Amino acid sequence: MSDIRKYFNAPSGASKKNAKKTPKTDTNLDQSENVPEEPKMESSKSKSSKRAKEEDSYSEAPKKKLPKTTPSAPEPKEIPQGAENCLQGKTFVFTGDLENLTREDAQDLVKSYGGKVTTAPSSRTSYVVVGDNPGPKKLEKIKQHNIPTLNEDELLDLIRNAPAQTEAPQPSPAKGKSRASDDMEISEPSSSSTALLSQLWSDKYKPRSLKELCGNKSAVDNLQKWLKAWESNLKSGFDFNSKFPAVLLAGPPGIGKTTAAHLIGKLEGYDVKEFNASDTRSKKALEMAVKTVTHNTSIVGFFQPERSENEVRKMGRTLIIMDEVDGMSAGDRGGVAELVQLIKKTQIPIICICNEKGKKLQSLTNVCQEIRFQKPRVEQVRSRIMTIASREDLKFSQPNIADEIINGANADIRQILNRLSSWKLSNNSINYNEGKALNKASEKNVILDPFDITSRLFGTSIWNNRAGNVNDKLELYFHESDILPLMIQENYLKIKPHISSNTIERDDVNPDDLEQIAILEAISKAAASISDGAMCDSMIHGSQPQWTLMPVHGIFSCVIPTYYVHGINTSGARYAFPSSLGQISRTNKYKRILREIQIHMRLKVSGDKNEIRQSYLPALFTALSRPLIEKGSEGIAEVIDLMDQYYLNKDDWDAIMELSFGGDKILKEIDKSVKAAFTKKYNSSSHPVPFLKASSVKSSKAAAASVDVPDFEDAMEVEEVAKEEEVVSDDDEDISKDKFIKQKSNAAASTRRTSTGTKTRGSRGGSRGDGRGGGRKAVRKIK
Amino acid sequence: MSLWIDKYRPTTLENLTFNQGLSRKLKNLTDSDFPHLLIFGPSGAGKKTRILCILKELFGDGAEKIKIDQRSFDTQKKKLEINIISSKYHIELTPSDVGNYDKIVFQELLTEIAQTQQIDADAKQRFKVVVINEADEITRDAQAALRRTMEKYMSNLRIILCCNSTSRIIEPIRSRCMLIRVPLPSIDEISTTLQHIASNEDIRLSKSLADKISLQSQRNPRKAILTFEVMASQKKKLNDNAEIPKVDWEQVIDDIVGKIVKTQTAETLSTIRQKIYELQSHCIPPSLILKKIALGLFTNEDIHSKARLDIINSATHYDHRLRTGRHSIFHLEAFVSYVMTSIYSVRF
Repeated sequence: MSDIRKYFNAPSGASKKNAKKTPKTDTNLDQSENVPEEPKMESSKSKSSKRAKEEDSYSEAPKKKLPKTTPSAPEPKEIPQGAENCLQGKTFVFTGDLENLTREDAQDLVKSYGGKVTTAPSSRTSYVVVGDNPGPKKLEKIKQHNIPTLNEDELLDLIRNAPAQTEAPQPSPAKGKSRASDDMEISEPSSSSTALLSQLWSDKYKPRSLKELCGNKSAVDNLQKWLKAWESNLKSGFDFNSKFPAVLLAGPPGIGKTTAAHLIGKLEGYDVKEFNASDTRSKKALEMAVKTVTHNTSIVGFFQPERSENEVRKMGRTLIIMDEVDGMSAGDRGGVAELVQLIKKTQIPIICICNEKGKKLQSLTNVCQEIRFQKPRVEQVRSRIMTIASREDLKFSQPNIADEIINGANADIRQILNRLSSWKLSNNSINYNEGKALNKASEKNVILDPFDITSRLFGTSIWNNRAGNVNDKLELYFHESDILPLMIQENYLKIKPHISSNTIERDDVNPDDLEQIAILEAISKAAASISDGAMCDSMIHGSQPQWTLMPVHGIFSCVIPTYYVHGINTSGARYAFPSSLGQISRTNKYKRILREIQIHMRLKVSGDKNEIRQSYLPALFTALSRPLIEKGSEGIAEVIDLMDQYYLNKDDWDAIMELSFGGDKILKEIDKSVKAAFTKKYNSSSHPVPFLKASSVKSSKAAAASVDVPDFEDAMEVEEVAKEEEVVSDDDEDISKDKFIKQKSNAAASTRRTSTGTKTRGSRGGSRGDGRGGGRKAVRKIK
Repeated sequence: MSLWIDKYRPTTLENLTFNQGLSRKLKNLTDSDFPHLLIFGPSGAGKKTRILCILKELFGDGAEKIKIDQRSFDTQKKKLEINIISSKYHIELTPSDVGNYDKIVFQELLTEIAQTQQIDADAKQRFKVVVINEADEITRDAQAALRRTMEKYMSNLRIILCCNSTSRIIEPIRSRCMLIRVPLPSIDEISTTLQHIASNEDIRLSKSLADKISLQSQRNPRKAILTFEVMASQKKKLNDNAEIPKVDWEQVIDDIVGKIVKTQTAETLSTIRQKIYELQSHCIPPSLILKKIALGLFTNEDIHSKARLDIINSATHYDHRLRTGRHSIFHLEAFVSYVMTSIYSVRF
């Protein structure tokens, strides 16, 4: 371990840079730790009281985020406090690296004062903020449109001096939307705080009509069309091609799949019955619960006091919603298969809902029409969020906050509402920075897949001077602590390391060579650290697990390697899945084969399996293949003779060819007819076998044991042994052996009275073993 | 027709050609009270051959009649199968075949054997012999299980441990055994043997070529004889400057060494990684790969002498890690990348 420490402490020269690049500002970490988990949407009313408790800690979380200053800057500049919304209505474009602020921080700063940030300059751009190394294209555009430019100081001055603008235009809930009237219908007394606590926003503002659904217009239309046509399709019969008895709605969570299904069901006059993950959905349970429904008529309609003719016609029909079908697994064995059977015979429409249609649901997709739900675009959600916010008296200081929050939650509407409602518990308004902090606080809930993390770690942005500290990077490791080290190892050679221009300068050496040295050094250091990581790994997973080493492992296996090697992925391809996993199973397979060969040869050869592989196999390989190549079918006898000498069978022959490098080439050289003749000849003749497999003997052994009469055993022993000789098909059996066994059994018989059962079994198992089963059978016959 | 190596294998202590002093010592041992043995030495030196000879000396011809059994054990997690090679006087085990479950082999099987006495009344010795192969691959737990058995059942049982190096055998076991090292024979000795075989097989083999073969096989007699047979099977007449074929995996390692010397880039490292994977999956142990690459580089003429120190230094460092850490490929790669850097930068 001491050498690991040495490596970690002094990665020569570059370590100083390391320290600089990762300032130990822990503010971010503290912040995120205070934040409790988001309350789940499905939580029942009783949970809302819990939420009230969480309120306190939550309110602390989003502190005002200060733009980070960097230690490397000559003199960190003060970030001015501007008047509120002072940049309202102005559009900014950034180009080049700013002196003090990172691009992201600067953009946030502008946004927080109500300014708009776009990526490319156009005639509508108010200012272009130009830093070092600006993009040439952008400069051209600036000239073309004659846009005023600012440097960093000027930008800060602008913020300092610009006058406060009027209040941000209140988002008008009904702005040009036909939705207005629907909204009225769902409005609740927003001032009453008890009502607010008693109901989740996501329930309270659940869409009550089709119009209220955000996005996925075509998907909803398709669903409705399908349901409308269902009756007539039932009569004409489902062909599982264009007419399906069921649909499968697939899409990410929180975008209204269940809601849409319920809504449309109601709209078309169906009595909706929902089964979800909280119901047992095993084969049996499904049969019980659903089968009764599929053939029944609902009586709900009969109890409605007034009904139109249309309603009467539709009355008594049921619709089944199978929610979360991808959750039908472990406990619900056979559930999916049963569901498929059910769908094939159903008399009522079935809507299945899932998040991801994986392999498990393959059979289901065959019998269902598939409708994909996409996550809605920001514009589709924005107005609805604004409406709800205004209804709940939550004020947005800038209009772009809604966008920020929507993006932050990945357009998961349920999630957005949950976040806003918990925010509302403590505050009545939200500004840009708070919105961002809110997103950041909830970010932890997002699970990253290993490919994402890998590309993040190898990307340059995370290693930017001002982007996060070591802990942030270590955090990434903990998303996927098992696979990530392997991912890093698999892919780090594909990265062209980003070498800073100010490496050691030497006049006598070609700069290209210098760069190559720097690259090689970076790779070598990364590799050394990965090796350190493997040492930690063996301590964590060793005989005495030391899980406290996990962070150390993370640093060694992921953070340090990517610190040295990050940059552009030169292969162009996606990051690959670790091939070492496949290699392990391949190695194990070959090891097993080798052991088989070794034990077959053991009667003749004393070497262990390594020796067999390293010395014998190359020699055997030539001896077993050359005669076939050179002499054709005449060489067959020679080869088979050699194989018999070493107790090798045909499988071993194949294995030897496979285990040798270049074996496949040699195999091609052997004539096909010769090979066929070889196989035929080998199979037609009988060959010596060194031993029988234990597994093949065991069953007869057990059978024999069950009818074993212990009293007669001693008397029968001698005959048993005599029979045994025939069973063991070994040529080496001779008189001395025969004699020995007899003597031994005599001895065993004489000592039996005094010795325990295990003793006898031991001596027998050790020296005879396999012949025993056959022997016993023979004894029974004699009896 | 079997391979020459097995055809000309000596079977008695008197016939052993190499290390004759050792053979005498062993002969004396078999006459007196026979202790537990720990026989170690490089592979190919003739440890197993000597064990066989000892057994024959102890028990007579009966020890040569061996057969193989397969025993299976049920643990909670999986079913284990282990092959047992036995004659009526001795049993040979390779507990490392079952990996981490080797302790169970000792607990169940060895105790079982140890508790029974020699039942052949005519046997020359009152004890049985258990030969344990690849003893250095046995886990510490299993070794601990062994140590008490060795003392307790001394009257019934002698153990012969056979391994390459004693470093991984725990101290208590080493102290209970008589340590016998079987060194590799000298080049002259091997050459003589080769020529002896050649004359029996009616092949002309000059002394210089025999020396060359011996040298190339790094004084490993087994390898030398096998190489010689491969050469003989390819060409009946062997002249002095016949090229000595390298075995398949050594060719791959040579290829790797050549690549390292030629270009030092990340791409080369990637292709080398694939080659190392190939070697590993074809059952070449990682530490052997490391050793061969390091020696190949060390003896390469194109390598600057300054880089040689780095090569050996890092090779020892990573060899240690291969034994203690997981994921051998990580360490091998770290070694190769370090060496590459050193080779590249030493030029300036």
